[in-house]
Amino acid sequence: MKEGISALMDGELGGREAAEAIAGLTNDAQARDAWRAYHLIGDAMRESRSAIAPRRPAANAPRWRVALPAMAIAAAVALVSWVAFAPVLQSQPPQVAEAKPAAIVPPPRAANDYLLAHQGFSPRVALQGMAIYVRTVSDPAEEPHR
Amino acid sequence: MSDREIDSQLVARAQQGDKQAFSLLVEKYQRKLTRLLSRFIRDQAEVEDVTQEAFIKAYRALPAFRGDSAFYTWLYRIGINTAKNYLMAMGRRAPTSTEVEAEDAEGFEEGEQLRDINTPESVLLSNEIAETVTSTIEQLPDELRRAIQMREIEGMSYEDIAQAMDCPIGTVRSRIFRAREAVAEKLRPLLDTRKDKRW
Repeated sequence: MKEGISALMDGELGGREAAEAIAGLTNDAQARDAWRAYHLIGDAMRESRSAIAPRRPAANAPRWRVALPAMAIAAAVALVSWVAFAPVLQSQPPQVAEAKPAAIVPPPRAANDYLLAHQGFSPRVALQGMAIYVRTVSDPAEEPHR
Repeated sequence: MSDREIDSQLVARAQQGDKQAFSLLVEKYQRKLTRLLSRFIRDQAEVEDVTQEAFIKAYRALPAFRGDSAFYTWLYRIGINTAKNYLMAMGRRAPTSTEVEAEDAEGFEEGEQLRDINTPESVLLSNEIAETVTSTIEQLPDELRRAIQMREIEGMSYEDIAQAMDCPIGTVRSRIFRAREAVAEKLRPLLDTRKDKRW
């Protein structure tokens, strides 16, 4: 019976065996104790593992939420570095890198409907506001002649 | 039979009045729900209270559960909603969850307190239990330890474990069961003590 409970909780019993094991669970105190103990063991093993492993961001956390703290730290480091080395840098003429225009690749027309429907879920919306929306909606080929 | 199908069967039994069936679902998900709610509520005693309240709400709302979602998905929504309501009642900021509201589980009736659900005093693992599990696992024979770790931590199926360990699926089933029983044997004195504790 207990070996059946063990396999049941792993989803490894066939329909009839599983039904019998479930019936046994509700009727047999030892089977229920085994169910309780085996689940406790699994939870303890996973909790011990997560206590040791570094915390990962939640799976459904938007990327920008994860990136912002890192960006804040990077910004702080950059500021400290600038303050520390500013006297040295001031003797050199500022160099401004020439910004190359970003390559603009128009999305396929069919993608616009998809992007428009899903743009609310894009983490980039939180950072760029309406920019993505405008870009998504605007399709020069479809704009009416004025 | 998949996990969802097992839960469906237990839910069906519970809906027919089998409280043991619901207790089995509580045993299965209480720690998972507690971990979830711990993300929003710092005080551990409050987490336990809110977890228990969520299970009570779920039990009351069970007749309305249609199985459109998995049981834990439904329980998850109840848990989040219960935590939100609790935090707002305490005047604290509720979590900005992106999850769907538990609208379909809100149709429960207010009623008398559910007294005979067998929820333990504390749903959290005590340090002693966690240490017992860890130390017993470490002392297991290699093949038993590997099998149970692949199952519980890596979430591998028996078939995948059998391939990894180059043994039949029946052997995997036996090894995992023997590993669990070895640990359960060490846990039983601790669990019996906890079972005797009541409010």
